[in-house]
Amino acid sequence: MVTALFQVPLFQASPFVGYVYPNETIIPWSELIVIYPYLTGLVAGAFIVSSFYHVFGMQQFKPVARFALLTALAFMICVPAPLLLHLGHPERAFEAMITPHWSSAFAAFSYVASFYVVVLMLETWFAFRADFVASAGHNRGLRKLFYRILALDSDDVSERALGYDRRWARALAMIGIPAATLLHGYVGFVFGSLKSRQWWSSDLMPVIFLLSAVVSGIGLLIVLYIATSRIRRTPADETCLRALAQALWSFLIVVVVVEGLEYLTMFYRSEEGIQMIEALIRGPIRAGLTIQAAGSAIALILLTWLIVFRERGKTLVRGLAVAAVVVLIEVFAMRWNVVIGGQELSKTMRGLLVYAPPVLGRDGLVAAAGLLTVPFLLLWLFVRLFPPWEPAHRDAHVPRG
Amino acid sequence: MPKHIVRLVVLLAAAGVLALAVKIYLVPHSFWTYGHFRAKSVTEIASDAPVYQGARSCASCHSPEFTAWSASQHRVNCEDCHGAAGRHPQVGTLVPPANADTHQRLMDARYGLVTGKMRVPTDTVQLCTQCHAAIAGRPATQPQIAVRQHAGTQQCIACHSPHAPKIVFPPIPKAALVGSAVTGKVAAAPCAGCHGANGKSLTPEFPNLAGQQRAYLVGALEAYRTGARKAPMMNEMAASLSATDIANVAAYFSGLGRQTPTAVRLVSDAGSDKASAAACTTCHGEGGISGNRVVPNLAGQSETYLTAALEAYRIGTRQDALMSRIAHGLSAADIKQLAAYYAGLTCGGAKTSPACKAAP
Amino acid sequence: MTKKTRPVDRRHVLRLIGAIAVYGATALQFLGGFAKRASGSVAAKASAAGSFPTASYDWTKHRWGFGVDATRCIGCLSCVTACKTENGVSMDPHHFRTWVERYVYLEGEERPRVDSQADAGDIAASSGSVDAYRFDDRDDRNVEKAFFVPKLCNHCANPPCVQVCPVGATFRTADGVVLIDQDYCIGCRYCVQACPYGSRSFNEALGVADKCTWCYHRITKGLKPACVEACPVGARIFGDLDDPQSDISQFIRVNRVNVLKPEMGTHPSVYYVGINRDVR
Repeated sequence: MVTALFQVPLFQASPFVGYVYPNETIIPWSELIVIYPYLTGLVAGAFIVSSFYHVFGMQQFKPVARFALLTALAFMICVPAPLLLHLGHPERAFEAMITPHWSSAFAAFSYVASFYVVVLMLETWFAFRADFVASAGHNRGLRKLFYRILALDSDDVSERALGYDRRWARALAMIGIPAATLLHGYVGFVFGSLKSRQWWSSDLMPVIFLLSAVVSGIGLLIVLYIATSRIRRTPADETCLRALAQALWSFLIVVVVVEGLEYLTMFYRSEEGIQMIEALIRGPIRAGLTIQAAGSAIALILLTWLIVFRERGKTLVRGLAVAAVVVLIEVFAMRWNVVIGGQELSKTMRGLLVYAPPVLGRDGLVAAAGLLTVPFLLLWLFVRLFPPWEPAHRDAHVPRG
Repeated sequence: MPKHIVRLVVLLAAAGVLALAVKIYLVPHSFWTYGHFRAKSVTEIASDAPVYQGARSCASCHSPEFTAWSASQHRVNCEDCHGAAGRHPQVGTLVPPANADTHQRLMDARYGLVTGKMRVPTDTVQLCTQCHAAIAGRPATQPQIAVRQHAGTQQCIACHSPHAPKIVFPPIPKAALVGSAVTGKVAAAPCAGCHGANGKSLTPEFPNLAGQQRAYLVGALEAYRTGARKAPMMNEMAASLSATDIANVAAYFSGLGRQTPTAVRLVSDAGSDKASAAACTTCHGEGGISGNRVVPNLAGQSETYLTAALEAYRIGTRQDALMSRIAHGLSAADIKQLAAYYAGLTCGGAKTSPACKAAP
Repeated sequence: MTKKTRPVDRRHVLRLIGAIAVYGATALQFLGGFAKRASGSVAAKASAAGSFPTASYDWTKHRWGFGVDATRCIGCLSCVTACKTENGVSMDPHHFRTWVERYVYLEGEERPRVDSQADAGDIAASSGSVDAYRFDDRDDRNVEKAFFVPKLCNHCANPPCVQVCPVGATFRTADGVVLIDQDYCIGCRYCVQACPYGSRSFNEALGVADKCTWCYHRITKGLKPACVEACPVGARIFGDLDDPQSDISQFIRVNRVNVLKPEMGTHPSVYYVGINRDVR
């Protein structure tokens, strides 16, 4: 009986209007593929913030720099999960590594993502190595062993060793920035490079994905920073918050402008099939687009107000928290509108499908919600194991430049 | 260099080497033999067994059907109607080996369809209309029917052979176009003894001839004359007629007005009779007045004669490819009902028929 | 302490020997795998010298092509049934390797009304069986023009589906057929997205992509694809493009043929006659 309760039909056909190819009635990519670019986006944004400090030495980001690194790592580790869950044969996923077909955007993913994970892990390792050594020193038993292994059984925290760490960390961060950009630009390429789908096929897709990724990542960091500060009962650093607000505003304005240009170009050109695109916008993705547009507007107005009037204290914290949450929702809506919306517009350019996500099953909402929770749990674990807030050796993390 | 860096580099190098080894080890053997794919998969796909066997595979066991089908214009394949042959006539499904891969499992799924017996379609209306229902989009060259008007609820195979369904009517004899009714009246004098002077039969055993289709009458007399149709009296009578006589006699009788039938209706449920007669109307016309000149009118015909005729078709004493087929599917009760129905009809429904124009 | 732990030590030693045996066996297996791989590739090379993919069929000797004469199609769907049966395609109305579309032009309307056998209105209620697939007898009285168009994989010379496959589970053979290695496919559905013609579907039961193979298992045995075999009106033409006397070569020579969505740059190998610009 229990199994019957969780028995999910093999597939779910979507209703449609007009004419769609018969095979199109099953939407191939579910909300798991919405989550996947969303997660990568959060990683890219969080990593950029950490790099502001680690590479460019922007001191105002220092309070969140190490936390941002852990956030990026926690989320990046979870990025393959929605993809694997969505595969018909997850156990064959390694084939993309052993026989990568380089003309496919997906083949590159496994390598780019693995490379990026390694870079992130190394960078985190260098940023936290002194802490590992310290933790190995004042812990006992299994915990001591754990930190000793992490420190590769070395307790060298001499100025010379830390100098090495700094140089390696900085170099890695400098590799990390193009890697993060590539990773996310490539996610846009996965969609933008497909000529079969008019809603996806766009040269601007990688740019839009990249920029909105950074926006969502900064938004996530703001939310997490404010939340953790409250949990830790320490006031959030106002300089840092203001810097984050400015970064969010700058990226957001560029995103809005580029997206606006995309729509303008599309409607100005009015190529064949524009009526169906209009019908798509008025129909299946109307709510999503409304959230996206309204979200961007609200966040922009709020941020502008916070910056122009130099708000401080509770007003700044609350206003920024609201703006960041709105941005997180808005970017999610944007991912939905692209990934699901693109599939709701038939390749026949004669029909529209309406996708309703299933609740249960591998592609269900429950699984999706679970996948969105895991990185937060992982981040919590990381923060418990490697506290990012009080660096044991402050000096080790101040870049020279 | 500090030892932790050295250890890290060693660790990374080891991981890299391990990854490379795993990669080399795991790549399938035939990969890259012909390109970026497993060459073996092509052989696997090509080795699957066909499920559709083609019409020729049916010929050896089902030769009468195959011959009829081959000679006809009905190009639809055996398996389109009877289902895929698969391993027919073998019975049973293939048991996949324990290590069956995807292809073997797929093949088994297909062979699972086959039980050794081929499908014999029962609902031929459903089957034949798949190709022959008149619907938007079908090219004009395709024979199409509106099912309701064509045969009501009758099965297609009541009239059509499924393997050679096209019905070929005899051509209209030339004699049917040249005869003279005036001369025919004289030549028809001997006929009156049985068929009545006005073409209205005196005995129910003999058919009314008044207003009958001229081409049909010519055909019938020719058949009696040659002996193709057997009835001792008629064979003798027809033997004495020349071709011109036949043409004239036919012209005479077909020109007479149809008489009101006198036969007492044995079965009076005309409603259900009409339904069972729906298939007949395709040839014999709505209301029993044929639209085809070689097909006889039935309206107002002698009931006893009609019963005897259908019975003769049924048991094979009278031969006609189409009518024999139809009568074969009729019960005695059906025949009785149909005969009564047509005998009870007058020309009321079909005013355009020449036979009815002459009617009082 | 040492005295007390002696039995434990013995157990230790036994366990160590056991571990060595297990790991050693694994390592040997691993090395054996390499050896097998080496010999395996040699064997593959040797067979490559002869006839491939099967002993009786050499794929370098053919170049397959497909023709569709839409003016002949009567929309009977024998091809769809044949394909589904031949290839074990799910019988539901959402998975097709081949299907038939109908374009109906009503008087006074510029754009066609398009439907297919998969449309709910065209399937007998709740039957779920392919036997019940049939085109609805539209009661639109003012049909000006209507025609059927069979669709299938175009086996493009420049296939977008092959381009996007991340692992090399789909490929184009030397004789011009786009195939899927369903034992290698990871089920990412990128190819389903990339096909501009909607020709690919996903087999949920097997967890892999599915597509028309032109019945590769038939054509390599000298048979015709099941849909061609089943078509009662000769609307589907199949043959070797390298043979000037083949059905397909003559079809292309005699008719003015079109391909679908040529602007996609896919170079389809399915040639159409009797379609207009509305057919995509």
